Amino acid sequence: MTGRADRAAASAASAAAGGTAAGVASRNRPRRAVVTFPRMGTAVPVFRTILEDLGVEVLVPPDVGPITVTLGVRHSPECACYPLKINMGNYLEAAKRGANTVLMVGGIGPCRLGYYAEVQREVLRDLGADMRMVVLEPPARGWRQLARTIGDITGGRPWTAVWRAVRLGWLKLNYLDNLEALAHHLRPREAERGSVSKSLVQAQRWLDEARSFAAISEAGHAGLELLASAPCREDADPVRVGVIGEIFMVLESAVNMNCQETLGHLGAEVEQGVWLSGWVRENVFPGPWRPRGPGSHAVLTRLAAPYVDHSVGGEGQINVGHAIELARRGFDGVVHLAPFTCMPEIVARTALDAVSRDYGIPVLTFFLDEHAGEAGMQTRLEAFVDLLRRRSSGMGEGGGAGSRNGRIQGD
Amino acid sequence: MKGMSRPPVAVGVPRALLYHEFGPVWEEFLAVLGATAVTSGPTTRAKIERGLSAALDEVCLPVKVAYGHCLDLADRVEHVFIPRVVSVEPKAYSCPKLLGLPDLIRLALPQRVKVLSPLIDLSNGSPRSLVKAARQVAALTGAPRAQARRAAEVLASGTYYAGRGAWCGARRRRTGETGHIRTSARAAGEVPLALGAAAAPGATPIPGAAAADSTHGRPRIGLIGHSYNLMDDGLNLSLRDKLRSLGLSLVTAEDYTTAETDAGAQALLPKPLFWTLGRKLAGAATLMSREPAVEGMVAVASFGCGPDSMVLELVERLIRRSRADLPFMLLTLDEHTGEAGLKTRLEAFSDLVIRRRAG
Repeated sequence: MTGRADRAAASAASAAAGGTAAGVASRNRPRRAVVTFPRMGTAVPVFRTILEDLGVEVLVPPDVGPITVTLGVRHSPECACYPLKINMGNYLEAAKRGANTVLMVGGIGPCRLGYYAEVQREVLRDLGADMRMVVLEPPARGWRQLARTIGDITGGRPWTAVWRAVRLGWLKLNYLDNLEALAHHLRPREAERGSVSKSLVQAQRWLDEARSFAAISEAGHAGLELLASAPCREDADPVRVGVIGEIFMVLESAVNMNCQETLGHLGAEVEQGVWLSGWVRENVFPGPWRPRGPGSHAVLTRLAAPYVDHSVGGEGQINVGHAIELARRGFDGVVHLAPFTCMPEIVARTALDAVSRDYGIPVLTFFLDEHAGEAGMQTRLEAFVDLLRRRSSGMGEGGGAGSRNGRIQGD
Repeated sequence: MKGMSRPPVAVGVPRALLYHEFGPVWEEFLAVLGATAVTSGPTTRAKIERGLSAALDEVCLPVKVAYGHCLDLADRVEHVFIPRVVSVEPKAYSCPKLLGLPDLIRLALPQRVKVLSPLIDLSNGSPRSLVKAARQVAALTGAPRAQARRAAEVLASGTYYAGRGAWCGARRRRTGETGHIRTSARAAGEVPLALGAAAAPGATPIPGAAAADSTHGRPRIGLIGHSYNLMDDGLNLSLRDKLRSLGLSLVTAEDYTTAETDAGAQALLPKPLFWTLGRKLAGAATLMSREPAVEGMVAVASFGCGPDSMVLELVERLIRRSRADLPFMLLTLDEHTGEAGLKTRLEAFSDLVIRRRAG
């Protein structure tokens, strides 16, 4: 199956090319762009909203599944971080369905993400896939370049239209993130197992269909109400777990094997440390508008300083701060997600050993790649939640301990 | 030393990682500030074992080796010098593990040992961090202000700082025309490729360059990799000696000026690489691939090296497009690398190269 699938993808990609396998960078012939982009949790409906509002033809890659992983792993450097491989899988599956342009982000390092697009471009070229790679580089590499890229992808639409589309996407993103956060909060309390997740999917579908400001607000409100109306158990006493880590691994449930949902079904209330909306606030908003209060990067950096005294790229230092902040707020445990070989998170994990010891909070780290198995994660999470329950009931007053002791929701 | 207010402090310098790039500069920096630099010995299996037990499993081998050197030094000194080398040139960085190295090591050393980790950050083009670094160390050693200024100048000579001022002169004096801060020890009798033979990208290689070499007609192999992988015999199991004993002579990045390798990197990769060491490696590989005198390439990476996973992939792909026939071998090192396996691969490679020559 592996061989057939990937040969099919490669030949379909070249067939879509209908031309030579020469580098596409020099290609100038005008043609209708069919744009695809990497899947990453809520980024998908948001990118789609923004681009479609600007009249761009969008082809959303299919959900990340076994074929995505197989194609991606086969056509990526062996020790590249997992997100790069999943991206490749997305592009190749999209190419098979007719996409001819990839919209990707760039970066200035030192984390590898800044060079993803360059590696992916060369792999696509060697495969003969006729795909143009359009890269959104951060302003640090020049505002003009960014402006040119945006103009390129939108076909020169006026800035007012671009700004409106971005605001539309931003509104949707905030609702989507709030819905998920609410779901994480409610899941351990649900009366019927799976009801919160079902409502969440419904709410996400409503938002996906909404295309105007009014429609999005309406769908968002309806979604929040739907979630909040799910019947909950009065006696639920969930342990509190923070889920932190590298942004792709936290946001894309296909690669973290539904970690947050599993924790919820095991009776843990999850607070997620990184959201796309939060990332935008911390990295895209101009300085004075960036968050400053508890939980902001500014504060977390200071908390982390005794352990990691400088940024190490990505959100390595930030995650150390997160764990400390969660410990201070009385959380029972931390789950830390990262791609295998992720450099900033390797530094973070080293520091988290000491944080865990000093603050007395268990930290479970998963370094994930294509070899990770769902059963393995499930087992570890079960054991972890068990451990947290026992610790908290052991340290508790004893009165309410009965409701937590050994009771796993859904059993 | 005149003007010193206290006896010299012994400061350990681990012979690992960026020591292989900047080591002598750091030793001079510490000496100028009145400290006694105590450099650890060569990498040994014992040091590696020590490092393995202290470091996180996922970390790359060179960092594990560094742990071993630091723990070894901690037995003998109260201070270990691990500068936080964030950046040695504008718009480029070291890898994240190097950015966090002082923190990683600090967490592994006993409480009584202090990590001296002045910040070196030239990413925005300003040398200010060098002055602060000198003052920070001077505060420990008790060196007077004038010495701190001189020390900052020494430190500048150990970066690729190309701004204006007296410090540029210091760098040029140290590096000369090559631009290299530290060059590898060449084997006796081994003549490097003539500098400038590669010239500008796209230029025709000079015919007869091969005839000019005096290494008795041994095939030249391009050896690419970070200096801490290539130059540390304990880490790479004496790789260079093994290659030489198989009848090969080596070409490395130091055979070109830094200006040339920069141009080579630019030609290979339109988007400038933001890892200094990665760029040096990619540029050197490009230039080597254009030399008809180079008959094969061996790339050495450590398992789990982030930047290399991307850079070497691009290097291999792009070189294959222009020289599909060039034997190219990637060696991935980790703590499990065994002598026998390594020797077998090297023998097979040298056989291939020598046989291709024959016909």
